[in-house]
Amino acid sequence: MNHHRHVYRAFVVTGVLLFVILAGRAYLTPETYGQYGKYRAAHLDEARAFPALHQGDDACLECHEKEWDMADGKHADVPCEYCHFSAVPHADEGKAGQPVKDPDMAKYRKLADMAVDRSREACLNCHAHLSSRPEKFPQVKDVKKHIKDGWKPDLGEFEPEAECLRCHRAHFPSIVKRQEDA
Amino acid sequence: MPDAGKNRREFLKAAAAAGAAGLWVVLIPKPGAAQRVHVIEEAKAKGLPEWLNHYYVYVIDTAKCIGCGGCVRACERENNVPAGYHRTWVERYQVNDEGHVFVESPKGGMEGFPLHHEAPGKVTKGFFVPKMCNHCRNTPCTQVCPVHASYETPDGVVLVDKKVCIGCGYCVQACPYGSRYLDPRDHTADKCTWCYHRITKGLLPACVTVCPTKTRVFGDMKDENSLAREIVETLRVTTLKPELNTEPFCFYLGLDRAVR
Repeated sequence: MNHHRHVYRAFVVTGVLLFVILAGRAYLTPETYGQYGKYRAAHLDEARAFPALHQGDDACLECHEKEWDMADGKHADVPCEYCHFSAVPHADEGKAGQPVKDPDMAKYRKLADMAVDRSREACLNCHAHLSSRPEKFPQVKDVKKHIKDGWKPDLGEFEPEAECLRCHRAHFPSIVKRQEDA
Repeated sequence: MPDAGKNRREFLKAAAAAGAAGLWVVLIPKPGAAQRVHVIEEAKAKGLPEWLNHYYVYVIDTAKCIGCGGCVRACERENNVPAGYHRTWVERYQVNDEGHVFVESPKGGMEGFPLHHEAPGKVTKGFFVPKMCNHCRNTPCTQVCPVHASYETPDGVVLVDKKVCIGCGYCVQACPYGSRYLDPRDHTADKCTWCYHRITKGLLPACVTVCPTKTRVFGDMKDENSLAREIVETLRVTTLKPELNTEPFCFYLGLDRAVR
């Protein structure tokens, strides 16, 4: 009777299976998995390393004090990057390390062009009349009528298709420009 | 046969014991919000870095939203969102005098809202509702993930580990808010991260940064000076689909019953 051989075989098979499973698990489990919870802890740092494009108003203020003071009235609280798009790549922090107001700034950092949408559509994105907008928010129902009614003599010759910025200052919209400002 | 009777009795005893054990397994409490907080406490004990010592919260005041779509544009630029997909979007609601609700979100509201889409009848009320991932405390999306690619960070943000994600799309279906999509470029799940790369460096999420009417407020429940925390603690906030018990951590002010 060689019954002990069955037992021996079963032990060997179980052992090999256990080894394969444990070795496979060790090989397949990511390195930092389980450090904080049931996820790869290294991903927190990876997600954090993604570059930020928008920098917020304070970053704009570092160089653009004049424009900052100019912005007042109803648009004072509109963030710079709403109309001007993101601060990066315009001001790339990667090349900083020099005082921002350095006269030789161009030597140290290259400022990319700042895109800004000056079209009438950009203004109407917020100011076209929609029944869903809050009632108190300034909205223009009929643009043609608005231009006709609002046109002041010192703006010069009447332009029925004028852009919004022909009359309004983007940084202080309630001040209507005169002809020499335009 | 006395032996067989004994065997049967023993078998029945064993079966009853096994049944009781099985019942106990079924009755183990499901991981709820309290346990999730416990998980976070545990993580803290494991020595988290200083920049993780936050608990982020997001508030949306729908009464202030003008539907300009600036947040959607900023999000797309900041996070390199593939064209045609949105991590955040704005919905326009119109309710007419017959009680019909009209909802639209052309291109997620990215290019604003077309003027000619006024609802039929007399519109008695209308409003915009910005939506995004609600970063739920009891979220279905991480529960269905078979590879633990989707998870909740110790600072209260739901993220997707793209290196682990196999693109099965379970989480996309599990999310009751439609906040997730499969990125067509690498076929992995993608969603709003509350701009995790920004908030962990002290910046605000891109959508909050550009919002011209302060509809969107972002804050930290661990910061006593945080406006979002003050709103959540003192005002009457609500969440989207509270009946689902997902316990969102994105709160709304002035939400209408028509919003789903």
